[in-house]
Amino acid sequence: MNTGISRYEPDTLAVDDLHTHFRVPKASGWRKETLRAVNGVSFTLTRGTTLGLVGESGCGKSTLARTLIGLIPATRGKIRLKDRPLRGKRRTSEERRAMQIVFQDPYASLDPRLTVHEVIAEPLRINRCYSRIRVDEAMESVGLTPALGSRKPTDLSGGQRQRVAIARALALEPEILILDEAVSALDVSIQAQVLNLLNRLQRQLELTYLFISHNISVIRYVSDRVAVMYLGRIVEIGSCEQILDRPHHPYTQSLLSAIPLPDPRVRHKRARIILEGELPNPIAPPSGCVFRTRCFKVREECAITVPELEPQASADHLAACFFAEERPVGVLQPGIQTVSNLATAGEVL
Amino acid sequence: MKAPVQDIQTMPLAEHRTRRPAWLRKIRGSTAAALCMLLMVALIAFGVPLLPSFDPYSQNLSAGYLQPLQSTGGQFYLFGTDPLGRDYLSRVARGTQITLLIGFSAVFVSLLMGVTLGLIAGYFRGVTESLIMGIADLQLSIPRILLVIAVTAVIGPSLLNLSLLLGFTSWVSYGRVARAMALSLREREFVLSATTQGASSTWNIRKHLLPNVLPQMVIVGSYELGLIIIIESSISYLGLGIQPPLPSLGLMSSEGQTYLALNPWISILPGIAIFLMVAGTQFVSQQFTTEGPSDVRIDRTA
Amino acid sequence: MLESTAQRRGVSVRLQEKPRPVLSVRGLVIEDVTLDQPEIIVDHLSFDVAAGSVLGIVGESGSGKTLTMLAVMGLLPHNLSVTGGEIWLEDQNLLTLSATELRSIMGNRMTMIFQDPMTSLNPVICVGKQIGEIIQIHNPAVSRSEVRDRVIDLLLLVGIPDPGARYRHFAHELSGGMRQRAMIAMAVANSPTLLIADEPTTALDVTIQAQVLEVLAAVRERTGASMVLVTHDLGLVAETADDVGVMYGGRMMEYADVETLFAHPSHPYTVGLFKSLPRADSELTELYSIAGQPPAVGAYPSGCVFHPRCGVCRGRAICVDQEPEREDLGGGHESACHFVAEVTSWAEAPIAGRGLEEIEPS
Repeated sequence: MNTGISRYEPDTLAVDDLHTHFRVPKASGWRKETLRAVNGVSFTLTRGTTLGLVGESGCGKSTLARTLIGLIPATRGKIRLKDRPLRGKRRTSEERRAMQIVFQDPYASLDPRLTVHEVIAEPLRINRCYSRIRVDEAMESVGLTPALGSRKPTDLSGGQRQRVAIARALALEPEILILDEAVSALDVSIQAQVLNLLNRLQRQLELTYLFISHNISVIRYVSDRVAVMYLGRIVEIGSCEQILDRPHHPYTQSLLSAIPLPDPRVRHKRARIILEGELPNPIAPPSGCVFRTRCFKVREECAITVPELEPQASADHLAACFFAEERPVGVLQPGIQTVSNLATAGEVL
Repeated sequence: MKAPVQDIQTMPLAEHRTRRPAWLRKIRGSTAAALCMLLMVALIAFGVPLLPSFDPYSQNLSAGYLQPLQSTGGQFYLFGTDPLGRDYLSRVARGTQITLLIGFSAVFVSLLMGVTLGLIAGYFRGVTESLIMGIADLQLSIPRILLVIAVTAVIGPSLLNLSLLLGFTSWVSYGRVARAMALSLREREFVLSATTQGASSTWNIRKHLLPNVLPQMVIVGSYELGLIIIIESSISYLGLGIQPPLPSLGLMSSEGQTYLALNPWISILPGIAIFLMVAGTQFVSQQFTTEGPSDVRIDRTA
Repeated sequence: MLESTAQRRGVSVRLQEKPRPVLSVRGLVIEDVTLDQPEIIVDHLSFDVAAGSVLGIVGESGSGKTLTMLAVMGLLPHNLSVTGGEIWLEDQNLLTLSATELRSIMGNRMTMIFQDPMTSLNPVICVGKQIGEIIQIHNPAVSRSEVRDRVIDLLLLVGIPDPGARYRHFAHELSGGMRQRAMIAMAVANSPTLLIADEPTTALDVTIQAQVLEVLAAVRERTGASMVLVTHDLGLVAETADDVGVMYGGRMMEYADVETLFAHPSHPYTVGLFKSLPRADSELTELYSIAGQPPAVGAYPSGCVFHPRCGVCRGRAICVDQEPEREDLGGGHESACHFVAEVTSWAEAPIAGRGLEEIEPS
C-alpha cells in the first residue's frame, strides 16, 4: 500500500554492498570455484513500508533473504538493523526478534508432527517467553480461531497453513518481516486473502516488509518501493510507479513486457520484448554488465565496466545501465519485437 | 522458481472422509499369517510359564526322550521331554522368552545408538559425519557373528553381554537411515524457521528430526529383530551363546542332533519356535514397508 | 456450443450449424469408485474445442481441470474412472475405442504437454531419440535417417539452437525452457489435430514463459492444431485463448469467448476471481477475496458447488439444494448460476471491506 513517508527515522534496515559467495566444487570434482549468488546489493528499508524484490530464478533473491536472516553467512558487506551492525550468522536474541521470515511452501514450512499451537508456540519456547495467550493472540491476528490450535498442519489447507506460518513469524513481535515468495504457492482466491491480511497487519503493527516474489502483479499490490534483481545485483530500484510504469533498465522493460495481462483487448497491441538466450551461469558471469548477453541495447562499453546504480529521472529512482532510458510500459508499437529485430532496426530506444 | 500448482502425482487419495479405517484395508494376506505366528509365539513365551506344570529345570531321568503328546508317571508332556527328562514345553517356552529378551534389548540398544549417531552425523555434517560414517563402514566390513563370537570369548556369554554386544554391532542400519533422513530434514523450512528464531542444534535434533525419524526406525527395527534372533540362535547353536542351565533354542536344537533317530522333536521344536519368531517379524516389517506408519511426507490438500 | 438438457444427460447431438469441433466433451462424469461411497470428481462436464482455436480452461487446484484432460487422453490414475458421458475427437468417441485404437491416436492425432518437463522426459535417453520415438511408433515405415531429419527439423521449429548437437543431449543438460521446448517438439512431431497443454509454463520464469508461448504459437500456425490450455493464470488465458471455460468443483461455471468473458463475466466465481487479481499495470487499493476455501477434490457441497462462498447466493435455498443449469446468455456465452441476472449489479457494487474471514474448525 502506498503511504507517504516523510518523517525522518533511522532506516529500519540498511544493507550495504552485500555479497554472498559460495565455494562449490568444479564439474571436474577437483578444484573449487566461486558462485556469486549475491554480488553487491545495497538498499534500505524504512519503517512501515514494503520493499518489493522482484527477479527470476537464479537472481539470488532467496539467498539474499537467507543472508539477511542469518541462515547463510555474508561474505562481504554490511547489514545494519536500526544502526546496529549484524554480524555473520550470529544474532542476539533481540536481533532475532526484530526480523523474522516467512517461507514459500506452506506444506514444507510446518513440522507435520506438531500441532498448530505448538508450531506457533515454538519461537516463544525457544526464547523462554511462552504463554498461551500470546499464541492465541497470534492466531487471532491472522484470522484463525484458537480452537484450530489442536489440529495438525496436515488438516489445514494451503492458505490456512500460510497463515500459521505468518502467525509463527509474528509471535516474537518482530519489526521486519521477510516474505520469501510467501503467496506464490497459493491459489488466486486464497492469495488475495493472505495479501489483504498482510496489508492489514502492516497497518496495525507498523511492520516493515521485504517482499520477495517473481510475480510482478503481487509486488505492485503490496509494495511501496520495488527493486529488480538480476544475477546477484540490483539493476533498478525506485517507487512502484517509477519502476512499473516508467522503467529505465532494459531488463525491467523486458520483464514487464513479458507478463501476461488479464485483458484480451491489449493482446495484439503490446510491445513485447522477447529476450533470447538464458540466464548466464552465476559461477562465470559475463564481464562488465551481467545483462549484456541478452540485452537489446548492448554496446562495446557494456563488456568492460560494471554499471553502477545511477539516479534516473529522480533521485530515488536508480538504474544500473549506461544507456538507461525511459520506455513507458503499455500499449505502444504493435507487434512482437524480438531482440534481433530491435537490434537490426538500429533503434535507440 | 515458481511453485508448481497441484500435480496429479501428489494429489491425496482422501482426506477425512468416511472410509473403512485405512489400516484395515491394507492388511495383506502375509501379514495376517504373520500375526497368527506372533500370537503363537506370545502364547508359548508368556502363556506357558503361567501353567502350574511349568518347570524347565527339574530333571527326571526315567522320563527322558519322550515324544510329544505322551504321558508318563502321571504327567502329560505336550512337547515330550529332553534327554534329561525335563519338560520340553517349559524349556522351549523359557528359551523363547530368553531369545525375545535378547532380541528386544539388542534392538533397543542399537536403535538408541543408531538414531543418535545417525542424526548427529546428518545434522552436523563435515568431519563429524565422516568420522561416524567411517566407523559405520568399518563395522559393516566385519561379519557380526564373528565379532560377537570373538568378544564373548573374552568377556563371557551372559545375557547382558550378548544383548549389549548385539546392540552395539547392529546400530549401522539405523544410523544410515537416520543420517539420510537428517540430511534432508535439516534443509526443511520448519527447521530453518526454528534456527532463525534461535533454536540450538540440540533443539532442532530433539524436537524436529527425532520425531520425524522414529517411525522409520520402527520399520528398521522390526526387520532387524528377525536378524538378531537368527544371529543369537546361530551363536547358541555353536555352543558359544547362552550357556546351560539357561535353555537356549539354538543350543537345544544342536544338542538334539545326536538323538535325531530317537526323538527328532528335540531338534525340531526349538527350530519351529525360531522360525515363528523370525517369519512373523519379517512379514510384519514388510507390511510396514509398503504401507507404513505415516512418516514425513508432503501431502497436499486440494 | 449450445447445450440442452438432453445433452446434459450425455446424449450426443450433432451440431449442424457450425463446423464440427475438433474435441467435443459431453456430460463427462469421472468418479472414484474404489471408495466405499463413490465420489464424483467431475460431474457432467461439457465443452467443445473449435477447429484451429485455443480453448483455455481456467480453474484453481481442486477444480478437476487436470483430471478432465487426463480422462480425455485416457491417462486417469487407477482409482478414477469415467462413468458417464462421451468424448468425441472429431468423429470418434474415445471412450468406445479399444486400447489399440486409442494408442494409435495418442501421440499422433492428440497429444499432451505436461507442467514439469523434468519428470516428463526420460532422463536416460537423449532428447533426440525420445522425439524420434514418437515418430517411429506411429510411422514404423519411416527410415531412421528420415526420422532424424524430421527431429532436427522439429528442434529448429521450437527454437532450440544448434539442433544437431542438442539431439544428443539429455534432459538434465537442458534448462527448463529448453526442456519444455523439447516436450513441445515431441507433442507436435506427428502434426496432431489437438494439443493439450496442462500448465505448460507454470514452472518457468516469466521471460522464459514468453519464449515458450511464442513457440506454441509458431507451432500451431505451422501445423494448424487446435489447443486446450489448462491453467490457473488468467493473464495467460487472456493472451492466448480464443474461448474460455471456468471450472470449479468439477463443473463448468462459465463458458464464453475470451473477450466476452473478460468484458462481461457473468458468474459470481468468475467475477470473484477477476476482482481478486492484483494487476501489474495499475494501482489497486484493495483486493476482493472470495471467502472460504476451495473444496477438496471429491468433497463438493450440495446443489451449486460454489454456494458456500458465493456473494450473490447469500444462503438462498435454491443454491443449496439444486445444481444450476447452464444458462445461455447469447453468442455461446453460458453461465451456470441461478441468479445470473443479479451478477452484473453485484459485481459493480463497491467491495465492502472484504478482509479476513475467521476460519472455524471444520
